[in-house]
Order: sequence, then structure tokens, then C-alpha cells
Amino acid sequence: MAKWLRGDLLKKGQLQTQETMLVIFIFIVLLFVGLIIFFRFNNISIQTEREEYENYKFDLLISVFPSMAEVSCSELGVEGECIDVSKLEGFSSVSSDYFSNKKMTISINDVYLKDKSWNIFDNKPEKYDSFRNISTPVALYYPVEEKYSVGVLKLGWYK
Amino acid sequence: MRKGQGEVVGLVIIVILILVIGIFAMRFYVSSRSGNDRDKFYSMKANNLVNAVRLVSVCGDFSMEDAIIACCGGEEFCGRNSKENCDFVVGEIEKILDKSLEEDAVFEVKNCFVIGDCDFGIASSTFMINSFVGSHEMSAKICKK
Amino acid sequence: MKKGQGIQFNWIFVIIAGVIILAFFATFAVRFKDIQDRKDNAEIARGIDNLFYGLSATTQYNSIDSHWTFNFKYNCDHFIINDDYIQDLDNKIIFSAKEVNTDNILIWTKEFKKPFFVANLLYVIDLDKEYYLIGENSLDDFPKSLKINRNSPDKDDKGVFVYFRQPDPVGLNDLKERGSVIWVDGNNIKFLNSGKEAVYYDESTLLAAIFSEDYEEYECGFDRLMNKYDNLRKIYYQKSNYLSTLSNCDYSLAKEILKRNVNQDNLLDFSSSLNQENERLWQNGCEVIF
Repeated sequence: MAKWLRGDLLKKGQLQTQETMLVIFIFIVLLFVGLIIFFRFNNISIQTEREEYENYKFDLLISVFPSMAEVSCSELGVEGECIDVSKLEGFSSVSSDYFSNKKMTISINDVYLKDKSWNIFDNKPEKYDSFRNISTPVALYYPVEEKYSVGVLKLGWYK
Repeated sequence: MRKGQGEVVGLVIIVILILVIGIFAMRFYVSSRSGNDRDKFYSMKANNLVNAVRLVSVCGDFSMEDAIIACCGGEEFCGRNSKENCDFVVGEIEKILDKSLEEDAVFEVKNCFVIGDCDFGIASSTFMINSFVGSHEMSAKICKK
Repeated sequence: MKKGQGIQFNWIFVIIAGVIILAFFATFAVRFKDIQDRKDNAEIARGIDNLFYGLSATTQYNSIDSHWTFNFKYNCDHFIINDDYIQDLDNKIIFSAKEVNTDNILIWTKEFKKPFFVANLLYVIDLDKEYYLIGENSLDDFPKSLKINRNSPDKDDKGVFVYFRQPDPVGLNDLKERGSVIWVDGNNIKFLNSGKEAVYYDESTLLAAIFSEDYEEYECGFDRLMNKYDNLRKIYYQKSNYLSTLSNCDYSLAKEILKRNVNQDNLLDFSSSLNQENERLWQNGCEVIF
């Protein structure tokens, strides 16, 4: 009986040890997987935040572009809240200095007074993964006629 | 043996539950952040719209702002009586909204007229104009889908 | 297996497992701190860039007050936070010292107009630094949070020392060890630490030189400003062409002025001539160039 008892106990002890080892092993594997996911998520979130910020800066262009000295209207040095159409052609010729590293397109078209449009910058790549475009109404000023119209500023971004 | 297996299964379930809850929480967090940035975009767009509309030339040297002031003050403008002028103003602004925006919008001059309608939208800052009868707040709202 | 051996094996196993788990947690803690640092650097950089965007459209100032000291390095077309996060400056005109270590940064803007509006110059200022303005000068409109001292510095004072008269050569070397020394001599700015000279045109560019602290940083921002100026000159030339074809007014002199290549030496003459011509056009009821 003693022999039988010892045999039984031995099996039980081995089983307990094996159970404990298995539990700890699975726990460590799960922990390891969890940590990998956590670190990958954090790295991705930094990259995602940077992309979101670039998106945000692109959106800001609908406010920044019309107020650039290169296109905004002015009278005797006082800046106005409109785009001077007589500056647009001149700006097209130097626009690459401002947006050269950006895969973007910028255009304006008059939707009220005249049927006119201006392609200000075009750096559309041959291949791209995605495309975002935004637009906004803008005030256009024709300096010779001294008249204001409404235009649409369109910005496209190729990623 | 059953007790040990039960423990392991319990542990696995708890970890999986925590991971799933964590993933849902992350999704909500990310989507709420990006919502705020879009609101800023629509706010800038609404401001641009108000600025463009008020400056537009409608009659010689006179701007839409002048026409709106005359409409709200019940005055004649550019050879039109008050009612005709208001109809003209509303018609032209409707045209501008239609041609310059992809979204629906509301253009309002308080205590004077409202063009368009939507329940939720992002508003511009208000621009004050003064007519014969008093001050009016001019603003626009870009409707949210 | 004997009982004693079983217990020993158990202990060894527990110790090994424990060490492995502790190592995981230690690695996790270190990696987590690194990632949090990276996130914080990104937040500081974006905060500063946001201020640049907001302030480049207006003339005023704003500051960033961080809970900890960070390192800001200015590299002409970008800046780096804590040698980690790089943020491009796009087309903004920034003047800053090469390196700033602070928890409190002020961004101040001043308009540059010669004679047309060119840009709002953005100054990055360490609010912990003291600026000594020695000698008679017309600089008086500073943000209240800036440390401006109009007395001669004492033996142990550190900061940026701007002389509007010739600095005393005695003790000059010691002064250079304690900070940047700048001598405003007429229309020239002499950066005494590097021994180089540059020009300035008005208060905005003088302040740009002071907050750049040395020649290289000032020259970098100044070159970007001159590039922008030249682009605007070309745009206004095209505008004068456009106006001359569609109106009866005479824009030939304006076109002649705008055709000139502008550099550091002739900018003031160019500005004065163009301003005069613009005024003449306005007085004659013609559409102005700017």
C-alpha cells in the first residue's frame, strides 16, 4: 500500500509541477505578445500623430494660402482679405520655391463674375497611394476693374 | 487536472477580454481626436465664405455687404426697391453657396434673413453690419453630414 | 525523483522564471520611457510649429511653458527637439540661437516691409536668458516676459550683450565667454564671437540679429528672407505688366524699378524708389502696385 501511495503521490506532484510550468509558460507568452502589440501600437501612434499633424497643416492651407503676401491683395501697403488675381500668374512662376517637396496641386477658379481659372501649382506624381482634396470659397480681386468676385481655391494632396 | 485546466482557461479569457477592451478604447480615443481637427477646418471654411460673400461686387463700386445693409434697413439699392433688393441679395447668395461649396450651408444675417437650413454644422465668427434699423450679425454655417 | 531534488528543481525553476519576468518588466519600463519621451518631443515640436503658423499671420507674441526643460536646435530649414523629433519650418522665416535649453520659450513676431509687406519674422526667444542693451537705442517695445537689461553687465553676468556704442576692449574676451556679444555699428551688425559682420535694415532685422545671437543663424534666416523678397519682386513685376496691358496708366517706371536685381546693398534704394512710384500712381488715380 505504501508503495502504491508513493507512486500515486509522485504522479500527483509531477502533474502539479507540469500544470504550474504550463500556466507560467502561457502567461509569459501572453505577456510577451501583449508587450509587442503595445510597443508596436505606440510606435505606430507616433507615426499616426505625425501624419495627422501633416493632414492638419494641409487643411490649414485654406486659411494660410489666401493670406500669403505673394497672393493677397493690398493697397498702399495695407493687406486686404482677398486674393489679387494679377499676382496669381507671377506666383505660379515661383510657386515651386514654396511647395517643391510637396506632391500637391493648387488651383483657383472664379465662380461668380468671370469664367476664369488659374493653375497655380501642379506637382502631381505619376504614382500615388491616396489622394485628398479640399476646397474653400475665397474673395478674388480684379485690380484694373476694381471689382471683387467669389472663387474656389482647390488644394489636392497625393500621398 | 480539471482545476489546473480551469485556471489556465480563466487566465486566457481575462487577458483576451483586456486586449479587446483596450482595442475598443484606442479606437474611440483616435476617432475623437481627429473629429476636433475637422471642426477647425470647417470653421475656417465658413469664415472664408462670409468674407468672400460680403466683399463681392454687385453694383458698380458697391459690395454685397452694402446690398445686405440696404436690404436689412428697408432701403432702396441700385435702382431696386427694398423687396426687390432683398430678393436679389438672397438669390445671389444662394448662387454663390451652390457654386462655391461642396457641402450644404446656412447663411444668416440675424433679424434680416436666413438662407439654407441644417440641424448640425460648424459656424463662422460673426461679422457685424450696421443698417438703418440697427446692428445685424452676419455668419455662415457649414452643415455636417 | 527524490523529494529533495524535486524541491531544489522547483526553486531553480522559480528563480529562472522570476529573472526572466523581471527582465521583461525592466525592458518594458525602459522602452516605455523612451516611447513616452518621443511622444513628448513630438508634442513640444508640434506646439512650437503651431505657434509659428498662428503667429506668422499676425504681429504679436505667444509662449510655450513646458513642465520640463527641453533642447531646441535650430538648423535653418528645420528644428529638432531633444535631438529626436525633427520638424520642418516650411516657408516660415525664423530667427533663433543655434541651441536653446529651456522650459519656457517665447515666439515673437515683427513685420518686415520694404516697401511692400514681405513676411512676419518669427523670433524664438529663451525666456530664461537675459538681454543686455548697452548704449542709446530706440528699441523699447518688448514683451513684458523678456528679460531686458539696459545697464552694463557685471563681472558674472551671462546672456546676450548688445552694444550700441563701441564695446570696451578690456574684458571683452571674458564677456565673449559668458555669452554672445553684438556691436550695432551704424547699419552694420558685428557678431564679435565669430568676428563676422552683417547688415540690417530696420528694427525687425535688428531684433532678428539679436535673437539669432551669431552670424550663421542670422545669415540663414536673412537668406530665406531675401529669397522671399526676390520672389515678391518678380510677382510685383508681373503685376505691373498685367496692369500696364489693361489700364491707361503708365507703369513703365515701376516695371523698370522692379526689373532690377535686389541685393543686400541696394535694397533700401530699391524700396525707396518703388515706394515713391507707388505713391505717384495712387495720386494719379491709378491702381497701385502694392
